[in-house]
Amino acid sequence: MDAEFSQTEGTCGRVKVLFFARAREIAGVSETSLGIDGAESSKTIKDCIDLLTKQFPGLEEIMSCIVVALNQEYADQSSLVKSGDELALIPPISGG
Amino acid sequence: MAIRQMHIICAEARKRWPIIALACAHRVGIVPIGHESVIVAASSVHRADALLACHFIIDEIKASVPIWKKEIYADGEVWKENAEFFINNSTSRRSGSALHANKELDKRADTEKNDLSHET
Repeated sequence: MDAEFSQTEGTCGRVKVLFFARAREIAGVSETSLGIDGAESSKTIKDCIDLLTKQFPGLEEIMSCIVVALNQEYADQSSLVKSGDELALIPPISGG
Repeated sequence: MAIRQMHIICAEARKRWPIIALACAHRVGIVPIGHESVIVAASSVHRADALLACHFIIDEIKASVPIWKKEIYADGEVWKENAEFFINNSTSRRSGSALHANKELDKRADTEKNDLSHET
């Protein structure tokens, strides 16, 4: 079941969340989505992370070393998210 | 995003050095032990520029391209983690930019450029 910031019915935008590597193993899924209610105050990436940690408690152990990308660009956790955005949880990388 | 990030890195290399041609590629999927995962190629009029560009690109790939490796052993498996990622992100958390926060690489590139120039 996807997580929601509010229980309001009706049209509400969603933020797509992608899990990679260890985050994907812990979550057990490659992606999920979070509901964004436009009537409430804007949500930050940090708000999304907090919600994801509640939904997938196992993510707590890696959250201190992940970075995030918003719409394929690295972003600070204080950045705001909006409907239609794509958030990626990026554990420590190992390319090269 | 990995391809996008590699394009960004190559564009940055072109800004810093007079490069004629650049190419980089990274394998995905199963890579047998002892096989290469990544290739970076650069050409320039003077070799110093191509060498420095290659060095920069591979370092940036290791610091910022979202690719992961899991090593599989007989008795377990482990996700590898690049030191460059941690170095990059301890500074980028303040600046918000993964690519341009790598001051140590910039300093080393300048030092190496001087060293290579002296060899010519």
